[in-house]
Amino acid sequence: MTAEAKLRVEGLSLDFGNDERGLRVLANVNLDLKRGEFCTIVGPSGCGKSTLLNLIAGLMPPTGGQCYLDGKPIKPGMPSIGYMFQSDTLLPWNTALENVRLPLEAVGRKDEGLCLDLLKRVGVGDFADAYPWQLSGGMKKRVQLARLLAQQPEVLLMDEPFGALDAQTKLLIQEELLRLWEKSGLTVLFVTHDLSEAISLSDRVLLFSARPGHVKEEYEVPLARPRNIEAIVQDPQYNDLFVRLWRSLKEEIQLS
Amino acid sequence: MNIILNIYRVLLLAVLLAIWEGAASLGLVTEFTMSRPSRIFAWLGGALVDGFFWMNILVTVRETLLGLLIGAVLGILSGFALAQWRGAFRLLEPFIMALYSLPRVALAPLFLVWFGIGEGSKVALAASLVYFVLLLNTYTGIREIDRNLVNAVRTMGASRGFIARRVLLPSSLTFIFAGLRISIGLALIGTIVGEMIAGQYGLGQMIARAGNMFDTAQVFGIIIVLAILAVLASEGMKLLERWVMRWRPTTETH
Repeated sequence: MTAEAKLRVEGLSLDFGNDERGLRVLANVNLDLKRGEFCTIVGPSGCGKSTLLNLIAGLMPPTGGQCYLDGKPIKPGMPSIGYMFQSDTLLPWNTALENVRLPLEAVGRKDEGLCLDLLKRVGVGDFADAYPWQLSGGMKKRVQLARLLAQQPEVLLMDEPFGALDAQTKLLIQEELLRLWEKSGLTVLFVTHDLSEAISLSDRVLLFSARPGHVKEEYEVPLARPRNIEAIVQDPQYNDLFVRLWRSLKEEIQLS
Repeated sequence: MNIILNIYRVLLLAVLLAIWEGAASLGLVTEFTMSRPSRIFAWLGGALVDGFFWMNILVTVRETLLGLLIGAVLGILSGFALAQWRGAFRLLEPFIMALYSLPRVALAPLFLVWFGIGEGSKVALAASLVYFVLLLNTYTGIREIDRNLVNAVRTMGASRGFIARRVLLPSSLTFIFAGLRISIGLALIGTIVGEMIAGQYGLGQMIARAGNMFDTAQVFGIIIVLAILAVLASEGMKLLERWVMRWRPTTETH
């Protein structure tokens, strides 16, 4: 089990301040993600879900513990770990295509038509020369998705990437993500507070406790792949899982 | 729309000049202290066909632009460096603020000693005024940047240099240009004050001499030329800004 983990988080903890008034954000978080697994973390606000992704990506050092990619310790700024932020992180002074090209240029790779291809694949090929302010919220997310794939990562960290979108746009882009992921073999760690999003996208849902955050419960999603969102929401297993998750999450929210 | 606005502007100017001229003719203001538009324009008419006046304009423009350029480049580089090394900024902050708040024209006598009576001391004075504005604006611009923008590019495996070039610089350009717009006026102040204190050439030196001779018409004439130079420089800066930041929404106006 441990040998085959694509992404491994071992005993990760984080404290802010080191006196007794210090804040313990994460307490001994352990995760193993199999290659090609889509795993979602849900939990009450402020439980350290986003912080966990920042630690895995190496954007800040943990107080204790270590993260591994294919058994090797993760170093900050590894292109094989892609990160999609909750906020819009397209560079406003670059066009959609230039933004998608950014991860290639960052490591000195040449773009031989890959970036425009990716933009077309996520359905915004006609907007390659548009600046971010000219794009709608959903289109911006699509461009960010294309940029994430252009980086050619093996693991995706996604921090409530679709949180700010309206309900319909969100459903469309979730389907898009499923379609792209199913063909890619990517390992995904996805953070959300939206239970139906968690169930419809992932293989496994991890429920985080109130602060200090750690994995409280783990649920396998028994839905077949490939999935389509309309069918999923009518599935009794979906409803059953939704109710179980919500009951458990509610306890944590009331604690926090 | 703009044409109509400009017509009104010209009309407003004409009315003010007419009132001034009329007041001088009726003896409501003393011509000795206030001069009058007809005399000012008569002096300007003569000066503009005179090589000496043009040479002085050229000296002042050269000193101002050179001071602006040197002050801006050094200020932007320092702002960048201090934003990268926060510890250095914290160490230097009181000194920077002291120098920034100091009326730098008080440094003019020192600059005369250090850089000579020629153009060097004027350029140095202009640059010293521009430097701190650009330093603080660039520093603030980089501090105010959206951290997630930097983090997103960091996770791509980008180097610090790449992030500085592709994220920090473009993002701080709004602040840098705000500083540059103020700096045109500051550079002119530095140059003119420097010329007035000591030297041979430049519009500041001409104003000082005309003032000593109570030639108010000439003083006003040179002030008009300075105003035109300042407007031209500001418009040039606006064009440069619009070109450099052409990615911005076209509806945005300043």
